Amino acid sequence: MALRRIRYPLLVLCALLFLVTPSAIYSCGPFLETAVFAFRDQPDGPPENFAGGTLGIIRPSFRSSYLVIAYRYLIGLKLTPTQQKAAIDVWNRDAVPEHPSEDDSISTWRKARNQIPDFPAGYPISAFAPISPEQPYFSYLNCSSDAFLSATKTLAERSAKFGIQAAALRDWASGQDAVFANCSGGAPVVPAELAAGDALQRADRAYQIACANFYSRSFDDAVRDFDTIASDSSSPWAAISPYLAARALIRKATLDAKENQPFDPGPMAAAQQRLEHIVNDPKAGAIHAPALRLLNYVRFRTEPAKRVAELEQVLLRPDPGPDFKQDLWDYVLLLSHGEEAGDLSDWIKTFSSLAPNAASRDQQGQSTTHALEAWRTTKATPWLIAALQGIDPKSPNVSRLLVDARATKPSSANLSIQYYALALMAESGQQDAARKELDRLLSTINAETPADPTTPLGSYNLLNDIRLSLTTNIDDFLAHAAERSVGADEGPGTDEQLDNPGGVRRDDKFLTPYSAKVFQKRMPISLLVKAAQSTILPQALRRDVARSTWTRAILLGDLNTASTLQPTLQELDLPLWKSMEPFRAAPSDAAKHFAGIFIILQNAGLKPSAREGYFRTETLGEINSYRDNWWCASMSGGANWGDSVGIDAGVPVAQDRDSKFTFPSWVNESQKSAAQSEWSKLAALGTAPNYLAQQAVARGKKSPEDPLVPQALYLSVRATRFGCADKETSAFSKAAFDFLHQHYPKSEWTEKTKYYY
Amino acid sequence: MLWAWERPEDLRFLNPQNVAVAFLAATVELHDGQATVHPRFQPLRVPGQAKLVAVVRIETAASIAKRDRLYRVAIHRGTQPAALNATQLQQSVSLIAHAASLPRVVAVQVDFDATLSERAFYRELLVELRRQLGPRLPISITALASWCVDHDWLATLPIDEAVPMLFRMGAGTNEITTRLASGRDFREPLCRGSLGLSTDERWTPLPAGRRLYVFSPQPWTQQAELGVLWETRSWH
Repeated sequence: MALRRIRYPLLVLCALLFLVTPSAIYSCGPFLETAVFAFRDQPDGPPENFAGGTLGIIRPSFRSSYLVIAYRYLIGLKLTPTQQKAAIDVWNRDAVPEHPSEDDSISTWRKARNQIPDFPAGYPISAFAPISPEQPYFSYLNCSSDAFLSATKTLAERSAKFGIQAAALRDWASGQDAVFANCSGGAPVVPAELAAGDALQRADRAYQIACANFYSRSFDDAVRDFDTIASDSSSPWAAISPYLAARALIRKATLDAKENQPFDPGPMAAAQQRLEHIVNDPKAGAIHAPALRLLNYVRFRTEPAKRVAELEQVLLRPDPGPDFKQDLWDYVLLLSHGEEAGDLSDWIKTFSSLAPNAASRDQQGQSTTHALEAWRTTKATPWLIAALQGIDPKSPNVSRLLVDARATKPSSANLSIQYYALALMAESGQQDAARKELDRLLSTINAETPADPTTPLGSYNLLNDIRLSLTTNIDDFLAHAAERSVGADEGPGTDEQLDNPGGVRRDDKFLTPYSAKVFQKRMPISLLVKAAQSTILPQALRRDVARSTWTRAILLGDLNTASTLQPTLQELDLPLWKSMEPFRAAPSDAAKHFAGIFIILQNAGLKPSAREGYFRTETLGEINSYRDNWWCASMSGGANWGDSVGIDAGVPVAQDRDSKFTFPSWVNESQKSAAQSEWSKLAALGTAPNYLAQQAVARGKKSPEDPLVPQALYLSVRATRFGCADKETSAFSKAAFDFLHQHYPKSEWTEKTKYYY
Repeated sequence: MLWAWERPEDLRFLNPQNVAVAFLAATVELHDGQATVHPRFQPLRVPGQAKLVAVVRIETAASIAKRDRLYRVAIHRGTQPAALNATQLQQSVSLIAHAASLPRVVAVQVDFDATLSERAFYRELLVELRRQLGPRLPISITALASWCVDHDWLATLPIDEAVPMLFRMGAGTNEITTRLASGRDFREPLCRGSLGLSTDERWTPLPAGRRLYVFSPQPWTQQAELGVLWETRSWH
């Protein structure tokens, strides 16, 4: 067995023990993407930037593996390119080195042994074995790829020495077949001792017997055999055997553990003792490094508190050494198991607890007190960031902390310190100063270009978010309302997507959740018209605001506003404007309103709130397959996906439950009153299919001669199929269907309406 | 029927007369023209008399990319998923057949969210599986609820059961629950014998007399199992 053969199984075992619980346990599609403007779990931009010290704004919700690297840079330590690559591997959860698959390695071995002329077929081989006869459904990797590759290499060497047709070679290969017969579990197969043969043949066979005992879980026999081989200085396997004896003990400790016991402490302690002996032996030679890794594996389990402290020391050395990847991986895992060490783990725990909803208000208060104290004591930048993030804007310590923030020297921490300080200023009565500083800062960051190497887009967006909360008039709001997205979110249980969906261009801007909410609930229609007419928003967003404001005007019965918007719609959306001719030509208000309803029915992309995040992928008139059509009762500007309700749910209403969501300062009292009144009217309308079907039937009853009515009824039944439905939708669908069939039996639209929904 | 997924599960509290266990026996990943097998790496403890259904999950480039960042990155950089091939089919069938041979297994279930372009492969796989297992061992598959409503292809499969997955349905939730609550059943008869539910999603009243497969995002406990029995007491 070569060293390489040992190293990989060890790493695989380490990885398997921690990676077997998948994060996304069960995922059925479809996966619907929403825009993300700053990642919660990770920095945005190329990971090489963060690994190289361009940290952007460090968020408390980042995974620990990012926070470790951030901390190093924050205290002035750097990483070599190799270590940076190792950090990226850990972020990618790529803990196991590249290696051939077990299936490929078994195939390679089979091909090699089948080269021996007239050699009988071997046993079937599977690398995985059941844990026990009582647990036949639960497997472990018994024989790793390297076992087969090492055997293939030895076969070539022995073939060169003995000749491919030699009996000695056939004996060796038979013995190796027997060894691998144990890989899949089952009855032990141990090759017989050699009665004859030279010293090498006997040494090989002794080694095969030891390995067979190892794979067949006769661990005590395996330890005895490896010890014997180790004492035979003539054996080519002598050097490796002490290490393998320790491995046998570890397998015994893990596989023979009692239920509810992570490992059997006896053999694990024995393994640790043996490994410590190897590591401390200056003559250990080639097995020293793998033995040390295996010892670390053991101590991870037997002495986690000591190990995490050691790892923290190593990780905070100016040069953390060649095992940085494994050390970082182990350290992060130990933290996730609740282990704590020194300042680094203290900071990660404290800072992480300050993420929104990460801990109770009391716990966050304690964390902030601790961060402030740590900052006063250590004057270490990570603690300043934590203190700035956590501190109550009303705290008497705010002024002092902001002075400290301003006094920091340029470093990787700058953007984080500026961000948290500005957020604090914005919340602590220093809005004007914060606004001025943000304007200066944002103007220096060239986020309009695709790749600003110093400021990740997500950081730019976070700064812009503060600025967005400090706008002074509608133009100022419109100038900051839209951001470019850093990637996508597919919902719980999935990783944040580093890329935007296909079709989204790098420079496309979208309304943020905050700005969309302002459009939705905090602006009266008069201001919405101004926003549509203004040229500040990007053209695509202006068009969306114009469409949604026109729709809102129709729903509110504000026909003057709907007419006022015609020139803007003509400028921004000529096809839609052309289709609005019946609206413009309608002879009465009632006809005009119904013409508006008809246009809405024709265009599934129309809703009364400006769109949050990505636009619909369909054209205005196309139906979205996942019911992202028209609006739901919530009147949300986002996609309708989350608003589908089960049939046992009550009818959701568009209540404004978010009373803490204040009006922007530039909305005056009369505008606030108008916005609230309009919102109340909208809230009463309910989900689109119900409202639209109701309107179509009502028009049919009042003006049955209106030529648009049959088509409107057809379209409204279609809307109940593809729109955002609730438990009352079916009744509205049936009512429209019945009215159509009863009153317009010969209409082509009746012919097309075969079902209700 | 409790689904026991890839996590330690101790189900010895179950009454095997009432409840059986469908356990994830293995996952096979089909990508880059190869099949990579991941047997179950977590304990499963069941009562001595428990009846078991061995579940084999099949994942392809699309589903792997959803949960595997590295794979997604590779695709993003231009590595296009290879088409599914005959070798992958044979390896998958062998794996499922092996799972069927495990002690106390009375049926197999294949869990494969096949995309439109993967359905021909899936069908061939099931045909070959049926050939190898013979007619007596039941073959079940999990089915996206939309398959049971809108598609005819299930009818062409040599299976005994398609379990409509009534959870994680996203935008289709309302359509399916409304349909069932209004008394309209699935179009596809193979979908009318069972239902797939999850403990973390609200259950609306559903058709009675069907075999229930219940998923739990957390390891099963006796309390959770009793909750399922209580919730479904009137469905039998």
